[in-house]
Parts: sequence; C-alpha cells; structure tokens
Amino acid sequence: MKYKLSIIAIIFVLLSSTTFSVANPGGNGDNNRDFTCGGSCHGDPSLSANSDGILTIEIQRNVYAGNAVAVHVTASDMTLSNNRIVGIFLLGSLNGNSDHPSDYGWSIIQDPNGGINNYVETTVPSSNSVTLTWILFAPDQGGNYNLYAQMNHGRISNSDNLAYTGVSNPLIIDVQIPPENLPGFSESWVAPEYRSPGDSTNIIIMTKNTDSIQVKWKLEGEWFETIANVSLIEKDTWSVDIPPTYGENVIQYSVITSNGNYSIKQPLLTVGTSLVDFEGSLLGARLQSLAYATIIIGFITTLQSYFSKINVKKSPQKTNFSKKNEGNKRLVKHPDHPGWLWDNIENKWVIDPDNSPNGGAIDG
Amino acid sequence: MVSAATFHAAIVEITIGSLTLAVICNLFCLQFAFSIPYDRLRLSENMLLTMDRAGFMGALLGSVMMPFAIFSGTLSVSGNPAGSELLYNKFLYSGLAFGFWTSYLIGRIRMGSEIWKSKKTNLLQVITSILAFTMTITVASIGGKIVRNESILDLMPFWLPINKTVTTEPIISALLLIIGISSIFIMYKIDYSIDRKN
Repeated sequence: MKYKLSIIAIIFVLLSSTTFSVANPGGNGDNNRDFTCGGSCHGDPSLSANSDGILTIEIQRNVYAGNAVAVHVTASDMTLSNNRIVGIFLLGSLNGNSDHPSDYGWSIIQDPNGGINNYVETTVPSSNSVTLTWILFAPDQGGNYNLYAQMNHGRISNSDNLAYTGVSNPLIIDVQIPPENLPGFSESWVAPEYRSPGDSTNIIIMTKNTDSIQVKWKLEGEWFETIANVSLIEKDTWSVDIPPTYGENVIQYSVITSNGNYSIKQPLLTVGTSLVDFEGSLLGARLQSLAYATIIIGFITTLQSYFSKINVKKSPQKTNFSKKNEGNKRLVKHPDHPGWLWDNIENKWVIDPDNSPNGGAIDG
Repeated sequence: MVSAATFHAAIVEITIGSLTLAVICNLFCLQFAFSIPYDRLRLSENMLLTMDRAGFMGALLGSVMMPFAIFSGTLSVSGNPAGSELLYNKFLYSGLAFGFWTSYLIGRIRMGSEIWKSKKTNLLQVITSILAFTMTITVASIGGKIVRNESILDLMPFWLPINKTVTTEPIISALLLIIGISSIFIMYKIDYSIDRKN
C-alpha cells in the first residue's frame, strides 16, 4: 500500500511541477504591444498581482514637437523569478488597447534593445535596478501628452503562480512648438539596429534644418569618446564612419545637429552587432544527420557483437571446468583406506597417486 | 485542410510516448542480469519478459514513427527547415536518436531476449536506450524552444547544447555516411565469417 501511495505521490509532484510554466517565464520577446496583451496572464485580474517593484519614468529636457527625445524608464526593487527577466512597456495610455505611443503621435526611433518596439525584455542585474531608454520623436503638435511605463515579471516562490505587474505614475510632457529652423533628425529616419560582424559600412543619418553634424562614439560601458568622420552625401543626409564591431560589442553614438542659429545635442543612440548569419542547408543537415546515425549504429552493433562473442568464448571454459570437477568427484578418498581412492565410474578401488599405500608397493 | 504542423504534433506525441515506455521497460530489464536491493521493485521472470517485449515494441513503434516525425516537421517549417542553429540541431539530434534506437533494435532482434542475460550486453542495451531517449527529448525540447521559447528542460541545471551547432560540408557528411555504412557492412561480414568457422 505504501509503495502505491509513494508512486501516486511522485506522479502528483511531477504533474504539479508543470504549473510552474504559466505566463511565459522565458518571456515573449520584444514587440509592439498594448497594455494588457489581450487578456494575457498579466492582464487577467484573477491571474495577476501587483509588483512590489518601483517603476519611474522621466525625461531630461525640453521636448519640441517633431524632435528626438530620450525617455528613461527605471525599474527597481522587484522580487523576480530565477531567470530575472522583466518585460517593460512604454505606453501612451492605460486603456488596454490602442495605447501604443504611436497612437498618441509619438514615433520610436530606437528602443533600449536597439529595435523599434514599445515592449522590451531585459535581464535585471544583481543590483536589482535597471534603466531602459527609448528614443522617440515627439508628436508633431504641441500640447500636453502622457507617457506611462508598465512592467511584467514573475516571482520566486510563487506558489499561486501569479503574474506580477506594475505601472508607473503618468509622466506629463509639455511638448512645445519648436523654434523656426530647429535642427534635428528627420522624421523619416530610423536608427540602424545592428550591423553584421566586421561590417565597416558607414551609418547613414538623415536630418532636417541642419548645416553640420558632429558624431561622437564610444563602446558601451566605456567613457572615452571618439569623434567620427562625417561626410555629406546630399542635403540633410550624412555618412558617418563608425568602426566595425564583432561579437556582442555595442557602439553608442551621440549626434550634435547644428545650423547657424542652434546646436542641439541629440539623445544617445546605439548600434549593436548582429549574429553571424547561419548557413545551414537542408541537404547538409540530412546528410550530417544520417552520417551520425550510421556511425552510431556501426559502433554500437560492433560492441554488441564483441560482448556477445566474449560470452560465447566463456561458456566452453565453464564446460571444461565442470569436467575437471567431475573428474575430482569421480575419485573419492576414504578415511578407512588411506592410499586408495574409490572410482565412482568403474566402481572399484584405485591407487591414490599422491599417497600410494605401502610406499607404492601393492600387496596381494 | 489540416496543416503539416498538426500532423507533426500528433506524430511526435506517438513517437515520444512509445519511446518513453521503451526506456522505462528497458530500465526494469536490468534485473535480468543484476539483482536489485529493493525487494518491492524486483520483478518475476514473466514480468521481466513482458518488460522486454513492451520495451522492444515501444522502441520499434517510436523508431518507425521517427522518420515521419522528421518529415512532417520539415514540412511544417516556413522558410528553410535548416535555417537556424535550433532547426539544424533538430536534424542532428534526430539522427543521433535514430542511430541509438536502431542500434538498440538491432541488438534485440539479433540476440533476442538473451541479450539481457549477460551483464555486459544488458548494460550496453540499457545505456544505448538511455542515450537514445536523451537525444529524443532533446529534439522535443528544441521544438518547445522554437514554438514557445521555453521547454521543460529549462528546469534542468545543464543539458546538451541546442543553441550552438556544428555544421560540416555536405561532402564531408557524405564521406562520414559512407564510412558509417561500410563499418556496419564490414562488421556483419566479419561476424558472419566467424560464425561459419565456428
């Protein structure tokens, strides 16, 4: 009975452990998403709970309509799951749908991971604080606009399997009408996300109302900045020479757009290194797979033959040994007749060669 | 119209289920050659023969279904079916799984249930099926990674690498394939000639 109960308990524990995998603990990937993701685990009140973390959103300077601005979102002090992944939204409202910043006139030039998404995922370092920066074009019309940040994450020791969510206070932004001829990035320009490893192709930057630009670059995590060579391709289109990168290197670059009246330092941008394109063919994969299979079959079946041959060789030895034993059993000593052995087969006494009676002389 | 992905899911379930049954039964078959200290898990001779047959049939069904699983999986991928490290590894681990399961079946068919009686061949057979099952669930885990970006194996502290792969030129693979086939052929020829001499 105990045995059956222990088996049932093991099955129960195994089945229970599958519930740890609710709400995509590995994340959903960067994307453009609305607040509730259409009734997902983090949006469903019965499956979610409030995060214990702090989420702040800030902007560092005046915002002019149609110009680039950096929005910084800091998430801190959350109790996270083992993989320490947090997903953060940048939103124009908390309606649950149509709340992407673009629905309110904002346009994303670059998200914190180098793409152009309003939802990104990141791994929180052990300091338990992470700051993510979105570079946006402000709406074309002046006025007051709201931006919100929201975060989704899991939690260690989450016995109720709840999905945790937190929302920042609204950041009210006064978007001002820009002065005439304010130099900045062109609204049609999207910052490049990646370059392939070793790619030395220049980065193209498109501007407006700009007579000259200065670009400074540095490797992410370093402080020393280098001025990049810039050449004008045509009006408001610039070619910037930034060195090639390899591996996981990310280059940060800042652009100062200038004309006779203004000189504006634009938000810091990044360009990463893409993974090397994988060049596997279907034919190659099939051939390699079959090659592995045949080599494994060859090796294992050879071992099977080898081991089975050893067993066959061992068996005759056993037979010889038993015959010897039989031989030993055939001749039996008897304490009343020293020097003699009883032959069980012939049913007669024979001389013990190791201890012959009367020193080997046979008497009548 | 039912898509290839739906067929793939169904076939994979049959394959994984059969092979799981096979590896569990094979573990019990260790008792043919090794005594176990825990009395409650000790099986009778008849039960062990049943385990042997169940394991054999499970492995046979799984191995027969495996090429169909690979084929339907290839059809269900949009774009190049070997176009990423994960997808490429699916082929490689499928090949390894197929190799190990086929080896297990060849041994069982050649020697019958006698293969369990010797300690060495018994251990070899069990280790082969454990390795085969490891490769099989690695393939299944890659499927989970592709579709849901997660798999049950994420709970394990370590596992076989699936995000990195080793590609060889098709000509090298073809050469390895010929060597593999030749080694099987030569092994059988030698085996046959030794049997004839005896």
